[in-house]
Amino acid sequence: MVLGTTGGDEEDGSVSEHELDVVAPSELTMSSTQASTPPPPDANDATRDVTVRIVEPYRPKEAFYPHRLSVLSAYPLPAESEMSTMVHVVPVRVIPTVPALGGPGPGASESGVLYTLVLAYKSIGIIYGDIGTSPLYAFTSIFGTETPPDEDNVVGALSTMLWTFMLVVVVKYLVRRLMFFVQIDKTNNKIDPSPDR
Amino acid sequence: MYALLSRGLREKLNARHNKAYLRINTVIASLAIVATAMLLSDGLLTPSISVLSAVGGIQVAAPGFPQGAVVAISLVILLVLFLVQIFGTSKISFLFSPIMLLWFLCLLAIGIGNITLQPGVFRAFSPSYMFQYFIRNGYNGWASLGSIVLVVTGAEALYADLGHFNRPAIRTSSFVLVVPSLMITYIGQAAALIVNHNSLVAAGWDPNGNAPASQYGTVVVSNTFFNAMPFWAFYPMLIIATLASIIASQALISASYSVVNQVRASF
Repeated sequence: MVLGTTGGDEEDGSVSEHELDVVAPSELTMSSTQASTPPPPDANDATRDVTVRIVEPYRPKEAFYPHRLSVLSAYPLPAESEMSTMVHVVPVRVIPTVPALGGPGPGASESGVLYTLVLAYKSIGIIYGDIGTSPLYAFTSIFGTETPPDEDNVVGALSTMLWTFMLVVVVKYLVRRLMFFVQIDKTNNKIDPSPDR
Repeated sequence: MYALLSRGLREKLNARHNKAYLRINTVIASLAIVATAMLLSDGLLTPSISVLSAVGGIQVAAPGFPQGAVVAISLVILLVLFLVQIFGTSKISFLFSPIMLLWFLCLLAIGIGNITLQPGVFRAFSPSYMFQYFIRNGYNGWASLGSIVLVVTGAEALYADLGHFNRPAIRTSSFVLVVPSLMITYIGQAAALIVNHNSLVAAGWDPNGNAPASQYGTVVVSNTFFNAMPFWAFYPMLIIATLASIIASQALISASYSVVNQVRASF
């Protein structure tokens, strides 16, 4: 649920990734009023107030309604015109030692290979539908009426398709775009939950 | 995204009624409207074209099957798909992953089978064929870019959904399954198209002539996907393709609804 925390844990330079309990609105409000007071020095075990950056948590049951903002509506709301932003930086109370919520179950931590594989399996059904059904109509559409599908044209069109696919999907989205996210996460004090940062 | 940019601007310029803020905000809002319109048009285009292509596979097995019936069946499928949106699809969403996994594995298998027919098609990895293609075909080649871009429609979902999955998960599913499967599929389809085309030409079909092609010839060229597979695989693939196109349509319909919701929250 929580993807990472910043603040209050600079002493060891590591990232404290506590799971965030479902915080009641009253707690959030209280937390926000106390946010100005410094955290206790031995903050490792104590409940404390930090700044949390919530990047659209993964919620399996709501995966198709990704922008529902019920989780965030408890905090001092941004103006209504800003409700749809995907990244919110909010001070909340972090309660340590809460077991993982909605994860793949005990035995699989967020850094585990199993967790990644379960997420990868779930992602197949959700994000690859559009790109995965393109083979149904791509070639038919290219060789509609104008261009005869002889060998030279087929190889030429295939070459264009392969290079388009490689440049746009592989380079742009999977390498560059994901590198970009890593970069953001590094500048924000390493709050990426992924294991191989 | 619009709200994010707008808020960042407002904080930067430190004034809600600053003239520069208002002007830039107008530009950003216009871009956001155009982008939303593009997503919605993709949400209109992809469901119809993919369901229609999947159902149209029937015509390959039964060349006499009327086009009107294909359109009618597609319409019924899409209508049902839109009608079930009000009940929510979370109850059946656990079926999506296994079906898409099966779909990609079938694509991989059929693609490999097709490549063995014409292994020379791998030379398409050399971009020189791409340049020759555009030089030779002139305007038609340029116009076919509109169809070639269909190959990468949906790639935006890879990072739009990054918030729901994490980076290693998307990398794993992409590089292990989806990217190899799709590339092998396209290469295999090209191989099958060359084989089918050459056998048709050998049988006396002239693709450049204005004489009406035989029914068989029209069908072979007009539905590459279903002509590029062995006959025994045809009916199973018809079902899997229809299911996969329904899942793809479902994802885009959800995305459209969700972006309309965001628009209602933003303005």
